[in-house]
Amino acid sequence: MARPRRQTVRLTITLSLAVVLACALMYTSFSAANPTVDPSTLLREAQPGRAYELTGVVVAHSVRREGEVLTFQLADRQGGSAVTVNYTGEVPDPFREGREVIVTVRRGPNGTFVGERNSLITKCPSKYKAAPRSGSRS
Amino acid sequence: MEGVVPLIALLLLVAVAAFVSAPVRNWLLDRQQPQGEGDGDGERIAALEAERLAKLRELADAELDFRSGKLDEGSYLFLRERLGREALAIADALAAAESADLEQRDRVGEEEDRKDDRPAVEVPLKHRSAAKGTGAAADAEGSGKT
Amino acid sequence: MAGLGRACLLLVLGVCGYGVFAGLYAARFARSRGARESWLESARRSVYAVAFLTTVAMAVLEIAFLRNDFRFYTVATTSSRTTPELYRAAAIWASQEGSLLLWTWLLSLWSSLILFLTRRRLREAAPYATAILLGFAAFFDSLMIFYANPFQTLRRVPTEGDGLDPLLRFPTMILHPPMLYSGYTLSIIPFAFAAGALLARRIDAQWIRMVRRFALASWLFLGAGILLGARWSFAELGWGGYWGWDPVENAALLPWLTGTAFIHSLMIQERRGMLKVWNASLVLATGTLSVMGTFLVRSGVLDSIHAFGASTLGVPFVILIALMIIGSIYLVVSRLELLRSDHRLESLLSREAAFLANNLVLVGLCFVVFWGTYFPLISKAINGQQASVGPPWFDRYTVPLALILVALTGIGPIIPWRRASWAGLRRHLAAPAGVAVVVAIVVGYAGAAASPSALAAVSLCSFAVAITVGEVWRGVRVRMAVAGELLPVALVRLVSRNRRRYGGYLVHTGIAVLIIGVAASSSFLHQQERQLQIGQSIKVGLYQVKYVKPTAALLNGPDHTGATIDIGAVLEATKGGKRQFLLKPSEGFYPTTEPGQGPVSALIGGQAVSHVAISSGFGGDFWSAVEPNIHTPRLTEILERANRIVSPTNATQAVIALAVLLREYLRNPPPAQFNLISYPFVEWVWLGGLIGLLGALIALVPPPPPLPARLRARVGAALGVTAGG
Repeated sequence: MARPRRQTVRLTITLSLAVVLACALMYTSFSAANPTVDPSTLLREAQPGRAYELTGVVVAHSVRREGEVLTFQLADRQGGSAVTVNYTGEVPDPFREGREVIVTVRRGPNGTFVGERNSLITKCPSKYKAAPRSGSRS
Repeated sequence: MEGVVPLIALLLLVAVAAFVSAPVRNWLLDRQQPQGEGDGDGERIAALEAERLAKLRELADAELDFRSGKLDEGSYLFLRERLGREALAIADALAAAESADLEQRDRVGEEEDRKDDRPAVEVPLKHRSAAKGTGAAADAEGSGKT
Repeated sequence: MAGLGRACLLLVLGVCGYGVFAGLYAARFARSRGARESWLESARRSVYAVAFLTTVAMAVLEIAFLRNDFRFYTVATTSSRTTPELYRAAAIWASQEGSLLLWTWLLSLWSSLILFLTRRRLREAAPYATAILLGFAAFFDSLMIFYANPFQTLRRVPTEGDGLDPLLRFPTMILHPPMLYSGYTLSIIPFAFAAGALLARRIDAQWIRMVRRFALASWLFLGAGILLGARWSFAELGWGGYWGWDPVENAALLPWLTGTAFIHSLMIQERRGMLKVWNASLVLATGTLSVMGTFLVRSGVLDSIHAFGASTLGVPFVILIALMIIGSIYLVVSRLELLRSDHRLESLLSREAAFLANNLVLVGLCFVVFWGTYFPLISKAINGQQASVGPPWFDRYTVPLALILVALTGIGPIIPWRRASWAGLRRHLAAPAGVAVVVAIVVGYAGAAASPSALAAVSLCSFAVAITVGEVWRGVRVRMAVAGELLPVALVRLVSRNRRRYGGYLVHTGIAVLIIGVAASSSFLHQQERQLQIGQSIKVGLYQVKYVKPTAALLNGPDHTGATIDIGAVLEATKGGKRQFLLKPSEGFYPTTEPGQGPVSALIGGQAVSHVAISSGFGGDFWSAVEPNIHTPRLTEILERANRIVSPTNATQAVIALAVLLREYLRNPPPAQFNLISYPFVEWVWLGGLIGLLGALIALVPPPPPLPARLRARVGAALGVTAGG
């Protein structure tokens, strides 16, 4: 019968198309993604030219603002070696020493890292349970 | 002040338990039939009703489409005839289901009248006359219908 | 009083347990109709009782907040005497445990309402549905009893609480969680009725009618919640955007997308008995995605600012979600016979096909957003390396899909059911297509050609709006001709008699307006982040913006949010030399209870919050935020001296010291960091959203009692017979 076969053909074409598109999407997501690392991993493995999502705690007394650039250091949650980040762009309200932040960085000169513009996000401290988003990644 | 809290909690427990279990308790004691519409076939009637409304809406939509120029006359007439036939089929099924339901209700009513004459539980006098009253009313209704 | 609240939670668990038993008994073991009816009514009453008990619990907690009863741990950690009363009242849902209570309360309220309204319908599915709803209530209630107790008390009662996080002291915060949670809980209800209908093996027209309403209600509230969240982000947070593809934003969007698909494809099932498996899967998926969304916010499993922080709630939620997924798949697969289609797709050129395409696009969008949101977990599972994708990746895939969707919203209303003809289509699409081309030329000439996707969006949206307007016009014209009504009357009667259709058209219009707003505001914004001196000015878009003078307020900030000091700026915007508007952004500094700060620093050492200033207009908004520098050497010196001199117990001295600090700031204001954005047409986003929600409301309200007699007579007359029944 022509009808059911047409139906099956349509279904097969649609499904195949969907699967192909989904695979394309999934494949490109891996290359478009930035690995999430903590400071010690970053210091060990960072390759120049690649962007990383750095997650760490802002080290006390390390925050300095020079004009447009904010410089601070990030360390692992348990402490340890710190990474220096030079960042330009929006600084979310909850940002301060001792808070956990996420920032997209690339290797910069002299062992420091350059933060991507407007990529700084501050995670809510455990005391404040429901802080809304205050950072952008544009 | 704090001592009153357990009391309130207990009160809530009792009130909630009473409220929630009331339908089942009533049914168990056979004091009062819970409000129900139709019987087992009520679902089918409700479904047919919904189908009928949907079909009538389709007809109205088709007419609106035709009047506003979205549908040409030929397609509209063809569609209307097809929908009309489907609507009639539903209406027939509905009528059949409704009359079957009515018959069943009469039968159930008669059974209940018979049950009232033989109370399962010793019912105090004033309740019995009330029950007899309902029985009598149902009886009249039943005989009126048949 | 805390004991009463906890007692209510325990009672709720007991009632849920009984109710689940009663519902299942009514479904499977009751032997007579009378038995089934009474056990079902008992189960329904259990839901009412849960609503009552959770209301009592909410009242206990709310009263504790309003009375500053710091014996309650929740009150002590999220409220304070200095928190303004309105925010104290809303602080219930600022904490993990409080928001769980809100969720349970809303679930029980909505379930009670809907079970009451449908108490005479869906008799076979209702017992299962009631049991499932009570199961969900029991789950959330158990979380509160065993993991996050809203009624936990402190042995040592503090004299002052920590205060509500200043980031939450905004009006939208009061509305957003209740709306969003209503959306979530309202999608659990169609889930329950779908599972119930599958369990009872009865899916019919009645089920379609009921579930359509539930799904539309959930869509409305979810949409409102998402819109409020975006508005909150834009108008009240310091980053100046309304959507950042944050995991929690996405989590709410996912069930909304599947819900939208469901509302459309359900129409096909209603008319043609097709897509039953698809619809069942969609409605079950929507409920599951809602629970996943709720889970995401509070599990800490993904990095998001919204998260409630890492918690132990993750495991129970994962188990629930796994149960929902496995249960849904099992139900659909085991009832495939019941879900077989009555008809087949007749033509690829038909409204059915258009709706199918719409569904595919929406599910595609859902897949993209889902993949991107959960990618950190997926990549970690696949290659051990956690990675995340950013907004550019989301935009790359969602924008084309959204454009296709807009085109479909245009074509859908025009194309007839079952089978369309090319000639007819051409005739009806010609004028709107013409409109789209004209708009594209005009807008492109005006500068939009710089962004092809924005140009395409505006053009396609005009196409969709033109078609909708044409539809309404045609319908009104028919009424005016046939019923002799005047235009306004005809319009009102037309919409009121065909609420589903014209409500739907209004929703489409709203979405089109919203997308124009999104396209224009994201492609053509101008942003400057600069440090400005007094008197310095800078060009942002079409405006010249000057930092005129600083502002400072002590204890009585303009937003009445309880900030100790509020430091800001006055900005003047001019265009072509003529003054357009003034803006007064500021930053509020709040007290802290962290130790180690001097008495004066403690008053301003807490969370700093940006108070954004926006100048709104139909053609665009100007958004401004300021980050004043209070750490200059001179100001730091004053602060340190004050910390030494002021006695820790003397509040008046501390306030006077702050006044000195502020006076110095006003006298010698240092340069401040400004974030300035010129946002064309962003108001269209909110406007479009509101129009869409209004359309949904119109489509939701039940029509005036149907006139079956009149319709029946017309049908009969037309066919030359009288329809029976």
